[in-house]
Amino acid sequence: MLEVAVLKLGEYISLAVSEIYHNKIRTFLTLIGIIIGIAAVIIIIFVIQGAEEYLFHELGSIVPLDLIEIYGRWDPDTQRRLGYISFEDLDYLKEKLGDQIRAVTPVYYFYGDLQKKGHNYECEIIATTEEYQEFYYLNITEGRFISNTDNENFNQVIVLGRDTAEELFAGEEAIGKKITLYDTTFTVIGILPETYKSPIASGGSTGDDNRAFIPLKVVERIFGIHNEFYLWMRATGTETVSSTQQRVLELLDERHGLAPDGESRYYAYNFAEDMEMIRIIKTVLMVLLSGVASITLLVAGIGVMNIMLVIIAERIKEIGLRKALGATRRDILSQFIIESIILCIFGGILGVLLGYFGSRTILSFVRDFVRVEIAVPFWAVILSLGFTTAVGLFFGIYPAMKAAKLDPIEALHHQ
Amino acid sequence: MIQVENLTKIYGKGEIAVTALNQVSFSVREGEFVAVMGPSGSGKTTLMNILGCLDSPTSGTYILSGTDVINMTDKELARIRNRKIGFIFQTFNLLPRLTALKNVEQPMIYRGIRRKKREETARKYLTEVGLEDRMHHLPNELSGGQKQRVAIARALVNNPDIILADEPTGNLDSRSEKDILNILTDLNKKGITIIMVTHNEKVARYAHRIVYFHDGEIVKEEIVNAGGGSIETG
Ligand SMILES: Nc1ncnc2c1ncn2[C@@H]1O[C@H](COP(=O)(O)OP(=O)(O)OP(=O)(O)O)[C@@H](O)[C@H]1O
Ligand SMILES: [Mg+2]
Repeated sequence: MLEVAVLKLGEYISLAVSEIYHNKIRTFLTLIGIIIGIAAVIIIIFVIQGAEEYLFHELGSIVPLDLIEIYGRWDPDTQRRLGYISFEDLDYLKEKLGDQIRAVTPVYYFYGDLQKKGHNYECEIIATTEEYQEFYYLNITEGRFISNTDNENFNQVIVLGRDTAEELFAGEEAIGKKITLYDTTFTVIGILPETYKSPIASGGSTGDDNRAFIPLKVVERIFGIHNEFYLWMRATGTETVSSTQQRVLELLDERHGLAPDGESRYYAYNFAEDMEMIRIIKTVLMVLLSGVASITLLVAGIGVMNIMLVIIAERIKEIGLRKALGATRRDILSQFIIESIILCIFGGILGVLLGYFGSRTILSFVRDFVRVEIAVPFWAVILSLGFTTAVGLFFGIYPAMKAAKLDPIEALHHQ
Repeated sequence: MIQVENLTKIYGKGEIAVTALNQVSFSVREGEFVAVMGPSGSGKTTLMNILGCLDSPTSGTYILSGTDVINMTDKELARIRNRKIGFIFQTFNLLPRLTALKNVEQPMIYRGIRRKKREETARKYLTEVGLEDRMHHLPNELSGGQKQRVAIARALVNNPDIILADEPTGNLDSRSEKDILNILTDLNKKGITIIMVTHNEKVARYAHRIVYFHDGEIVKEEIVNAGGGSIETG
């Protein structure tokens, strides 16, 4: 039974293809609506999806997207923090969280004046540990970054950003030289290469070459700033960010108790949840715009129904003959529904191609800014072809039913 | 093989009603070759349509190979048309987009025969009607006689018991007419029952028996070649 159905299906498809082949111009004119509708859907999906991928890629180059930042909540009444994080807390969290986090480091940043032989230069100072490199790929080529030994031994060492090094040393050899920060002497141990400047924003480790890194413990001991740092963590992926963040706050609350207002003493921030918001906006946009394009397709479907009625009127004699040769109503019904579907799928394929080349053209205009590979997603192609199949089926049923119901004699003796 | 009794077909209603067949009773034995003659409008095509299960009578009975076909469903009738009956038309009725081979394959599609087997069978019958070198031609590249031979091959592929031919030589020159009649005679000799409508007395003479219609009634029967068909018992 199934085998017979498949056999007939193959035959109906090849008949439909031959009809399309023999009526190229008419078919094309009929399908213009579908072609444009599908091309619009493909381009809309490409642009929105591409924009999202581009955005996430750029964000990802600015900041690791699985980053969680934790710090003591600021109390505006007392002008003090409600909670502090110590190195002991850090070790405790590390032990408790285990595999749930990929990396953790304390970070404390401030603006400071670097001095070299009377030359003054203000830049951002980041006090951190060796693990900072787990958050940003620094690609250091000259000298080295801060090590754990530097932190443990309170070594007064400094790593300079490209611009800072230029400003202070102007092409001279910098490594091994001494500079001062708030009357404390630091030895330059490394210089960072120039970083990528994202067109959408700057910050984090990218887009900003005007800064310097020193060991956090040096800041604590020499400048007497204790437990003021932010804690950076990386979850195992963007999906686990929310749950890991939740867990960190719970652990800190257990250890330090809640603030007098009954809330946590700590505050956490992550980018993943913002990304989720962007994703939702993207999906809504995509559904809305594709929905509008789909209306075009429904209108185009009426055109398909019309041409199917014409095709059937032209081929009444064929229908009569087929019945005489042993076709049942169902055979005729299937033949013309398949023909309608094939017609629409054909339009869908042309639409996908048009959409694809349209997307390529758009991409060629923005190629210079977009570093990430963006392409028409495969699911968009499947969706488009699925939709055109549905249009073909829906708008083919009525004409095909008309064909199936034809009286064999009248059909055979038509004209 | 075929038994019809009191077959009546009335087209339309009331004032404009036309009685195409009026109480026709008639039977055909297995292996017989029957010619049907009569003036235009006498009901010949109407009879053929009913015998071919393409149309149903207004009243009367029709027994085909022992089964009553009057109350059959569309699906059952389609099956009979597909397997038991082969049609040959005056205007050939080939599908213009398909090659001779593909045209001949069509009835086998509805029978659910695989492509390879279909092609093989179609080739066999096209060869039998002398068209082995025209398999891949389209109908408009064939002469009238060749088209009718394709139609005959198409009528034969599902091994029918009966061939119904409505003026099969009506559109042909006398040479092609002869070819077609010889093919039909050969088929009849192989045991296929043939019923053929014609306006041409000479053509009708190829049959065993001629049935004359007038105004929807059989007015005369004439045996022209004795010995056609086996005597039906019972
Ligand atoms: N579909 C129809 N509706 C109404 N009347 C019809 C229809 N088909 C046939 N008739 C009438 O029935 C009668 C018999 O027609 P039929 O076609 O059987 O004649 P025929 O013997 O085949 O004639 P011809 O030799 O011209 O082919 C005619 O009067 C015809 O006008
Ligand atoms: Mg007739």
